[in-house]
Amino acid sequence: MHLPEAGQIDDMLADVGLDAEQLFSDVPQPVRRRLDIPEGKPDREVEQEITSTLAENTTVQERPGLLGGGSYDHWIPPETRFLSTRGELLTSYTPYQAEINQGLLQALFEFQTLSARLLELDVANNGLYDGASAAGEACLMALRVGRGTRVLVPEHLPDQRASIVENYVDGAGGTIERIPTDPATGTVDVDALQAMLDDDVGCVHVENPNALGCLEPMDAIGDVTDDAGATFTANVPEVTALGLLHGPGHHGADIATAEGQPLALPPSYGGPSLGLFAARKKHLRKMPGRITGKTEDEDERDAYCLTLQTREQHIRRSRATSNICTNQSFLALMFTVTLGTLGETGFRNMAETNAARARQARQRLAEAGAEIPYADSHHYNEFLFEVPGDRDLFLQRARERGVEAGIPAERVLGHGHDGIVACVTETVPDDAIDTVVETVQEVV
Amino acid sequence: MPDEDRGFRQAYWDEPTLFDLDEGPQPSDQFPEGADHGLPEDLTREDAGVPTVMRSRVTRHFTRLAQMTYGVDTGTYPLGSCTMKYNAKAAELLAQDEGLLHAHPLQREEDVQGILELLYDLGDRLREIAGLDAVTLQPAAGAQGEFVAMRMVRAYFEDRGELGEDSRCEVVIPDSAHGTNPASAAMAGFDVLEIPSGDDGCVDLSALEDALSERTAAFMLTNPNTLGLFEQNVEKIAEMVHDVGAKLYYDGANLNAILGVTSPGAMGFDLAHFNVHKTFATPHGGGGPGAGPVACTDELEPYLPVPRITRDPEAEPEHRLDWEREDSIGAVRGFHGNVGVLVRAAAYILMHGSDGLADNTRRAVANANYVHQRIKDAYPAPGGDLKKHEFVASAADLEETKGITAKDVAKRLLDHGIHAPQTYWPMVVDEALMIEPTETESREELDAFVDALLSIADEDPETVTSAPHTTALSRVDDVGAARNPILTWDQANDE
Repeated sequence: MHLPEAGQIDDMLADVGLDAEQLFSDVPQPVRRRLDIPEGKPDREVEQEITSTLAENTTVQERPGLLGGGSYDHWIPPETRFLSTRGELLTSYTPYQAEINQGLLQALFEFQTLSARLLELDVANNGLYDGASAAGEACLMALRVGRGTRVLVPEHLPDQRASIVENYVDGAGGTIERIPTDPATGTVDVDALQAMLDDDVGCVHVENPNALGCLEPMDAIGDVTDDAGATFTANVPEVTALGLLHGPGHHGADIATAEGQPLALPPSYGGPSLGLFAARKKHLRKMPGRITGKTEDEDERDAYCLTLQTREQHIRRSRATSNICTNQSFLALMFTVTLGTLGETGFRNMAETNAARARQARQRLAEAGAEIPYADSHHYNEFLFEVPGDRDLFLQRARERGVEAGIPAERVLGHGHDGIVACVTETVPDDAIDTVVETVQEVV
Repeated sequence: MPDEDRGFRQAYWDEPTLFDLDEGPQPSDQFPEGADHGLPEDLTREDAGVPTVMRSRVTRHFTRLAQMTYGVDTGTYPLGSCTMKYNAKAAELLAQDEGLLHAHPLQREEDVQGILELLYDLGDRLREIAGLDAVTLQPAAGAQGEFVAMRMVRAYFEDRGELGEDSRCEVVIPDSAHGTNPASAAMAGFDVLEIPSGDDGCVDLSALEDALSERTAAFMLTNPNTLGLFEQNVEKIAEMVHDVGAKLYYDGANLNAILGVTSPGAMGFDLAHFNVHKTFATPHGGGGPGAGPVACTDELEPYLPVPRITRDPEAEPEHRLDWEREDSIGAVRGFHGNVGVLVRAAAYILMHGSDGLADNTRRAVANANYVHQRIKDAYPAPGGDLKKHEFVASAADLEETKGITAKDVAKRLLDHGIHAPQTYWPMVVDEALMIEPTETESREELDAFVDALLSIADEDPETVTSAPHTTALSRVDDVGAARNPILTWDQANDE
């Protein structure tokens, strides 16, 4: 990087009466340390080094397959990637100065509108770190708006995501309990849930579609939760599902979140991601995160600014609704560009294509002899299947043919399961699905 | 326009929202119509509420919005505590590498050795920079790093049977600390005890002494502190905190001030977080994403989040993910962190290296001190004369003599095509203007900034209090926004 010569810095300081040698005279000798890492290198060497290191990965483009499990590869419109290089947006900070950051604020207002519409709730924020931590914030907020400390989550909620919820609610005295899975449907056992509900249940939290790829009986869960006076929160781990499926708010959820990565950028080894967050209007002032509001400037023109900041850490400190400061605004912007480019029909068709291709793959795998444990449940773009014989050997055979047949279910769930979680998006090539089907035929 | 006009005019477009531009559903050319999904009507929606706008118009829309936004790529951004330095473009392009973008977080370890190697090496360098023993890269931002650290401290004391209603239940924090500190400690389940700063703007040792007890789990500190002053008693502070059996936590927001000079470990801290979007120049994206890795001592290592990336050159594959760690606090976000951001940080650290990072720190501190010396008569900054990477100037004199507040100064700076400093924070300074020039501003840019600040102090108050005049909009009514919250297009058009 080109910087002024060191001598110029010394001269600059001398001009205002400072001695460059004295800049760190306030740091006591005993705590002085030099850095013991390698010296810097030119850009071109670093570019080569990192590019060649990353080339050691076998990406989902090099070996395509049925990979989902919370991170999804979709077609990102060229507009999104192109506009993501706009330096004004990319290199700005949180828009504290509204007058000079109207563009960013307006885009965030549009993102909030999309979040509220997709999740079918009244109000939304600028987004949180990812769907999983947004769900943690949702459960914590549920304990804040209602009574009780018990948080009920499905047995089939992935362990990592349950752990995230637990870390978020534990400080408020919240405890996590698992709702049994109905073995016939791969969804929440609603009778078992009803039996667990009492006055101390603050929150019932589910994901839809769930990690087994099944659609939960959202209305029934919403009804029993509401009857018991608890708060219903739901996370949508694959946001493209909302092109086709109702948002959680439609089914009675009070707070809803979603993982927005699928519409913002490719998997990128799991991050950055984007948590959408929406709630009923009555809970507005209990919400975490940055919020953009619409107002006017002195000349009565439409204007946007960060608002309701008295909820936030920089004002409310230890009594803030959340500690969040830096969020994922840029992903929220990219998400908004993607949906703007797709439009209503494009988004709908994308979601339908996902559901239809996954359905077809599911049927073909069943015909080829694979077991589909929850075949009678509704699915979006993910499902569980099982093969006779050694599962890992089957996955290896598929890999030798150049495809990933799915993810071992315990890697998705974090706890034991013999199945394979498969996901079919619009980016999975037809011949990759053919190959998985052929590999199943081979082992049956 | 006033005399000091630099000619800056931000673009203004009377740009409708995407929802105002919505033409209603139109055929789409990207995906087939009517794919046979087989889902029943009661589960599917009529419409998702996504606006339909011509693609050319969508691109113009966001290009116009970009023109009405100001970033480091546009100009000087001396926003204190945010370290708004130039974002290395090589790092930006590397984060778009196909080998990264299309790596899936649940692929087998064998298939992702490249990214695991890069992350492991980054962790190693961060460990060294922190002067501590172990690192997690999982936290998505600095505040989440603080939260992780406080959850770890909690788990540590719980393990030792010391966590109770009267034991290790408090976290002590200076009143000048970032708001995230008390918020993170409270969310982690601790009671927060804030102690007043001394007259010199630093930790008041007697107030600290009074606050510390067997109830204390941790003391959270940033050094240099938010006034840009180096806490010279840091060794004594570490000793006092450790004497009561508590842990000392380093808030890494101000790390850009000490690279190659000292380290959290050398100062006696037990845990520290990094803000890679500050110190290591990953772009802030209008609010995020950043990343907030946490480093700690060996004693606290068992409590780090899972999965942990491990390296064994003898093993095949060499890099693995370890999920089986009994004492771990678990996870705080999905998968492995904001990996794309971490790749940018790794590139930055490789490009700058030990010599470059230390040089950046020296330049950042030099720039802050230069600006301070030049403006201190008009905008005095409390604390000693020697600052680190930032300082907090006060517009209190201007407010008293001319009725010009810190907010007015901030708005007027925008007219010069310069972003405003942080305002009204830290709260221990009246009419605060928190200034952090960073190392990537030239002397010419610094002089333009100083000249703007000095000219504002001499200006006719009416021009200043009615600013800004050259930005997309005139002063925005934030009070009205909070009084009548309109958060969506639907709310705006219902009411």
